[in-house]
Amino acid sequence: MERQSQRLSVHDLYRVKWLIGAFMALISVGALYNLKTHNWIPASVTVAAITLCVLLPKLYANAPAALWKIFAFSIVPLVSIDIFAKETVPALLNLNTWLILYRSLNHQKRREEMQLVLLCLFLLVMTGMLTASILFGLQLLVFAGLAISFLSIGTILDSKSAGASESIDPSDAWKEHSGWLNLAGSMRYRNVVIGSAMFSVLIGIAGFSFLFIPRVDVENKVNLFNMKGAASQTGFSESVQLGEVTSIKNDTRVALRVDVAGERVVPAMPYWRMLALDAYSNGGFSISPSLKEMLDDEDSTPYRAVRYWKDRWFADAPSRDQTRDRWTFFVEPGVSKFLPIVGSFKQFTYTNLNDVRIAPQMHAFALKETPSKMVSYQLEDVDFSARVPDVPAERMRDLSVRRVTNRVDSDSPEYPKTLLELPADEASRAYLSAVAREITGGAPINALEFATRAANYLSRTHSYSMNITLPPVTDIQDPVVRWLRSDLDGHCEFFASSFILLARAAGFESRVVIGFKGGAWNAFENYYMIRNSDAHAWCEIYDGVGNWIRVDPTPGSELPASPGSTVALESQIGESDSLAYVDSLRMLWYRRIVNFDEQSQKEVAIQLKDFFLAYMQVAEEWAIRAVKQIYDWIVAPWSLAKLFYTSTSLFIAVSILLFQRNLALNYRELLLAPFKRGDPIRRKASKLLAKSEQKRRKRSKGTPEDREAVISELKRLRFGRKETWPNPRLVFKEARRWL
Amino acid sequence: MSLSAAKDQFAWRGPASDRAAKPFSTKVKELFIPPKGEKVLPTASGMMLILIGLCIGLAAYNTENNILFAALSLLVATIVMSGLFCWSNIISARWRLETSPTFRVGEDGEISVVIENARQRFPLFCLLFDVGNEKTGESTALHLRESLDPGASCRLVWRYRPTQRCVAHFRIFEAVSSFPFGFLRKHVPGECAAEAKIWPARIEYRRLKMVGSGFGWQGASTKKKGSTGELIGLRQYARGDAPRSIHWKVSARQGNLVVKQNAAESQARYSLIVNPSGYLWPKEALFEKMCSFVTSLAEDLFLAGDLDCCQILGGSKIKISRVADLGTFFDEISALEWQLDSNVGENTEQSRAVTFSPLNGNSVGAVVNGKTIAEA
Repeated sequence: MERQSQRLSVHDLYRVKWLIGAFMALISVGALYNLKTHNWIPASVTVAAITLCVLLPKLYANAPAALWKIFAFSIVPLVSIDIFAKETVPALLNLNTWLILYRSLNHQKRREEMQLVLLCLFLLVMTGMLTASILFGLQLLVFAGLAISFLSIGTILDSKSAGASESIDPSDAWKEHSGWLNLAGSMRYRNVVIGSAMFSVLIGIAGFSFLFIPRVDVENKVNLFNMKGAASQTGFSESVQLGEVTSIKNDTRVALRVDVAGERVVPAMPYWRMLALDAYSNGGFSISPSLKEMLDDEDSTPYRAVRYWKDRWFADAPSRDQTRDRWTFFVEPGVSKFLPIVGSFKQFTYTNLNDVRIAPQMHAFALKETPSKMVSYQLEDVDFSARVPDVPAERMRDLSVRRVTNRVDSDSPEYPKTLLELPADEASRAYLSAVAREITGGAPINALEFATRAANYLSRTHSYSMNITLPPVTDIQDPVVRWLRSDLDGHCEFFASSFILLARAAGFESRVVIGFKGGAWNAFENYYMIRNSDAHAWCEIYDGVGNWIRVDPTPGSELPASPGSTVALESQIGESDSLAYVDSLRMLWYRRIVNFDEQSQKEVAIQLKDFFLAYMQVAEEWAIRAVKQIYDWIVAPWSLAKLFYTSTSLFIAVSILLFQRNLALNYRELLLAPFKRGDPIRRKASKLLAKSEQKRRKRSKGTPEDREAVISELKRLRFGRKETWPNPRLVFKEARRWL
Repeated sequence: MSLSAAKDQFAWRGPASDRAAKPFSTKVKELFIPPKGEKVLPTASGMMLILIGLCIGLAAYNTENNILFAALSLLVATIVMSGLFCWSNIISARWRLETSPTFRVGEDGEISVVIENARQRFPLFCLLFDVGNEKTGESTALHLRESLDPGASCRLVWRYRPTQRCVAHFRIFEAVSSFPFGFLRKHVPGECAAEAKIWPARIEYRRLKMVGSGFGWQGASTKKKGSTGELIGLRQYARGDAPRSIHWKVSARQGNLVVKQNAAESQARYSLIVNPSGYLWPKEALFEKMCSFVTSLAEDLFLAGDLDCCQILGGSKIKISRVADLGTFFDEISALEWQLDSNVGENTEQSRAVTFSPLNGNSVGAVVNGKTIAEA
């Protein structure tokens, strides 16, 4: 016998609703931990308080009401401190957190329930806007489930208490509490199924709404909820010391994802260029002060980029040229304010161009601050050759002069002299000159030739290793030159720094470039995953005719003179393990949710249309093919076997038809019989009786006796004992005649 | 099948009142174009949600931020789902109104809404019925407290204590479904009504002695039929006969119910004549008192077997031989309306007619042959 579950009482429901409200608050406040730069104290206090109340509900129930009043009043000074001490957004987050703490533990009325749901949603959305992480998506899903349970239980509670849910005495409700597990045991399986179905419907409708809410491209977008930027990773900042880039290599988290569309061939070993450093001092490279000033200047916005690059376009929406290849970059928060690029391009698309700064001399693109959330931008018509253009000479002078006039004189050299800057100590310079002469052989050679020889020289004298021990200081102070003079192994920074110093000693302007090299191809969603461990340093040498040539002196890299090897995009072999799958979900989140725009909406509509058209086409082709096959079969010469086959098939078909006519139920009713309750004959009789009743009502004339007899027999089939049944088939047949 | 055909005898109302299920296309059409009288209205929480949705939508369009669009989608889905579920919850419900057979001022009666879930798979949740008395303007909200399993029915009871004599019109004004979130409420007309006569309250009155004749006089037995006194015969049971009048021994022998016919104890059987004319009852309170007095006296006379017939002037005479006859008279009393300018004429009744007239301004007297026999 089936055990009847005990129904939850009003007080049980009250406690279940309270628990779900507490979970909802925990989920939304927990989202604050996604914000790395936010003060976690209010969130931690809230989580601890709610958890304590959930674990010790009796303690919570016995807390004096005055405690909550005191807390409600204390929110004002707490938030006032925040407002005076911090920016608006953190203050708003903290206010929301304190209010959630108060409301999650004190909600009695329907409007208070609604307040709790909206406060939690508001906090969740704010953190989502500030992080745009996939974790937010998961939290929103869980929150949606909890919120609909919370609201539904609130409605059921109101109905169960005959509209008096607001006057339930909490102390009475908690007196009956005998543990959450006991309460969970009283839950009915059916309610869980209905709840799950409701959640699925909600997510379905929400997904549909998200896809088809009309999107409009708005000019002058408002930028809501900007938080103070996160700190860049050391190694991707404006000043890099020896070993800082390599230290990132221990981190295997994905720093950059790149989606490639419309490209057939991609570099076999792509270089994701972030920033170029020109000034050198004692083993460290940095951006020279004059360039830094230019980067921070308001004039360095993309709107003025036409001064330097007449063939480039900066926009906040993609171009309509469908023939262009598109590289979409998704940079994780806190990596760097410099945006990685794969080469020169025709268009740079970013939603808020006011936040972008351009350093044309470095061919670098940066944001005002290191972003605290994922940043995405797109390059169109990318040229991934190993060259980047320099600023034209006439524009260069204009830029430099205008800023130099405002600068205070200092001992440090100005750009572009920094491109030839060498170590300060004479011994180092002398050694570098000697090695440079050895490489050139004393004869004048061009930059490319020098780069090739210098890279070969470094490969001959040093090997690659991540474990470095620098030789002790002797007459040479500079650490890079000390390493160069030794036969020790080194990592990319030593090779790059050594190359730069040698090139400069030989009179070639050069600079070190920081970024990523390579990356893994994700086979699930087809995109590049570039991890922090792919961080790399290489060089650029000026060819004297307006281009900077990439040189990677680290052993194993391609020589600068060699043409860059490429690989077909379709033949990329990538990672397909579980980690790659998890990462592909994140990419899906970025592509389909975070970066979903008007264009994507159109694409979805077109895909849907194409799908249905393709489906129709397949069906049409199948039908034509089938008809043709039948026709061919008929017109083909008839053999005895074919005749036998045809007549047998026809006989079987007719037999089946006749057999069915002798059944009381048709095929549909026979097929559905196992899935429906009750006897199928009784059910059919009932259906026909109902139909006859309808017909009787419509007819004004008296019913014939025959018809009454049929109804009587139908009633016998419907209600009578099976032993007294007439032949159902005949009764149904007769009933159909009259109906 | 969830329901037996026997249930068709009830006058079900509500979306599932038709025995035959509506075609799916009709249901979908009614979702978008509701039948007359049906409506979906937002609650205060729903209005708040819509407002928040508008704000988030405004922010989403101005920032083009997909996180805001995701939140907006969630709110839109919640509202859509709220409307969809509150509609689908009520669409398979049917109900009827049942009332107690009699109501009396100051005494509890029952008004019940019987609900049935005509679904085969899913339960019915959180319905609310607005039930009331149209005549007096009293109403209450009856909540479906427990979910109703498929095919099951339940009764929501309103214990109603009338406060005034009248012909009450009980009605289910509307049925409301706010399941699951309470943001939107589907209102469906109740369509059920029931009329009930509310008898006047029983009041205390004082009997005045009448020596020699009339009320309370124990006379000789007659051969007239009555409820007490000497047994003069037997007859077949008829509806309305008191159970105590059944002759059980004879009934057992004959196989069907037989009741005793007794001779009346007294010759002094009275007729009650009520004159509701306005000139007689200048105050409504006095008129009401008279009505209560009439019913109280009639009840006592009937129990004593001294009541012959009752009449409201202007109406027909009711011969009182059974409880049901007395009920009919009470029903007429409950339907009486006080009108100052009404005049139904004078009583021309013979002797032993009890008439009612005001006494001393605030009292009502029962008068027989010009003598007051009782006072209230």
